[in-house]
Amino acid sequence: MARESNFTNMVVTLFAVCLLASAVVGVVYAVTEEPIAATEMAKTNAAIGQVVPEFNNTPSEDVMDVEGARVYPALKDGQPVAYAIEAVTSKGFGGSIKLMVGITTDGTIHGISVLSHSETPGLGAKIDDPEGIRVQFCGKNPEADGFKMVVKKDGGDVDAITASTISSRAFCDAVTNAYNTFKAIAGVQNAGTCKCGGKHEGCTGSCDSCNACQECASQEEVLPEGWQHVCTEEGCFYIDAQGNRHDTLPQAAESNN
Amino acid sequence: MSKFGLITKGIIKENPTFVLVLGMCPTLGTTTSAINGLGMGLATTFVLILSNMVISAIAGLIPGKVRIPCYIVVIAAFVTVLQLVMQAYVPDLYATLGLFIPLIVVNCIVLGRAEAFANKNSIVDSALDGIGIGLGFACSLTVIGFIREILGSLAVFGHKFAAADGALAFVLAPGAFLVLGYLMVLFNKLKANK
Repeated sequence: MARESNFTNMVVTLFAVCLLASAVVGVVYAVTEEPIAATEMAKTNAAIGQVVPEFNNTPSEDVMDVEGARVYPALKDGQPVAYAIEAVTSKGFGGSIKLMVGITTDGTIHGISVLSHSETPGLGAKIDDPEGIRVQFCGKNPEADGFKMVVKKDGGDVDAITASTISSRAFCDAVTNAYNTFKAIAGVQNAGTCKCGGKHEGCTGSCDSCNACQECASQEEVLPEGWQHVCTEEGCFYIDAQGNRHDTLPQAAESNN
Repeated sequence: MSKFGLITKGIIKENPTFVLVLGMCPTLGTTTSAINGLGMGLATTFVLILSNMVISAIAGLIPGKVRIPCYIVVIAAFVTVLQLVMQAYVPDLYATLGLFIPLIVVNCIVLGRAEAFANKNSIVDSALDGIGIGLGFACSLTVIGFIREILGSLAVFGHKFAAADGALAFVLAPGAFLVLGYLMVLFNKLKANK
């Protein structure tokens, strides 16, 4: 049975018990650290595989940090085909909801996978249903199709899960967050595709929205392969496939080769 | 009491859920399906057996006034070990139970057995007591989960037997209380008739 208590033996016992317990936990932690990391990695890669089209890199090795969100680019032969974006919302009914949203480079949502959630089983947990709410987003391009990622009750285009409006709203919110992250990436990546390289004030990466480039673009021109039109405030010039600067386009005969 | 009696008393006479009414938080929280209930029950059993044995072994060395903090540290260490091991080797079960695993630390059954049984009995008896109480807890949770799953999701161990939606109330907290209450009535009536 229990011993007599005095100050010394209480301190010593508590210290010894805590020391032993933390040593055991420490050892187990060291042993399980690697398998846990491997499991997490496998889970992430499996989720990425589900939401993006075919790719041949290891997205988890090329992970980028975009505005605090983790983005896994899916590359095919070195060219990005889609981005798997980890999106979080704190608006869930039971806490935060974490999704992996795959968006192809043209802005189409390719697939969504639920990484973690604490929604009510049988109600909000249906966001994890493979044939559930996520199907409504797949194949949609929110900007080009005018697809509003808000539940119908709030004036959007998404059918909420019966009796789980809050979870459905949170799901939409997370997908919207992912889409905004995608737009942030696209803004940076497309800077090179606009003729001005994103240099003009107000250029968001696409020449359609860049007023200064619209003027250059109106002069219908066909660029030889590998050539880039660079439009600066001082005037336009061209860069050929080897990176040399030209002030004018080559003769039509050359470019036809 | 015979060794075998130590095990069976935990399942019927001192069933932690229906008779002692201890550990209600995981009971109500995790039993949305039979498999969750079973997983939680087995995880608790594991912690209960190990903590009972260790506490039985060290009880003589611990000064009476600090025994509760010592027990809690031992239990918490086992729960953390369990959590890490599950996370590493059975990630699927961890994904469903993850939230409730740390709660085993504050499960009254574990501390209750340490205080009421393990610190007065031998290591072997304490382990048997842990097995008995643990199995009693696991069985009760599985039964509650089984009934709630049938009524709430129209499924048995995850396999749906009808396409329709079940009575949602049984998946939510009110259903947990209803099922628990009726099972308690039934259990005690059967026990009284013996």
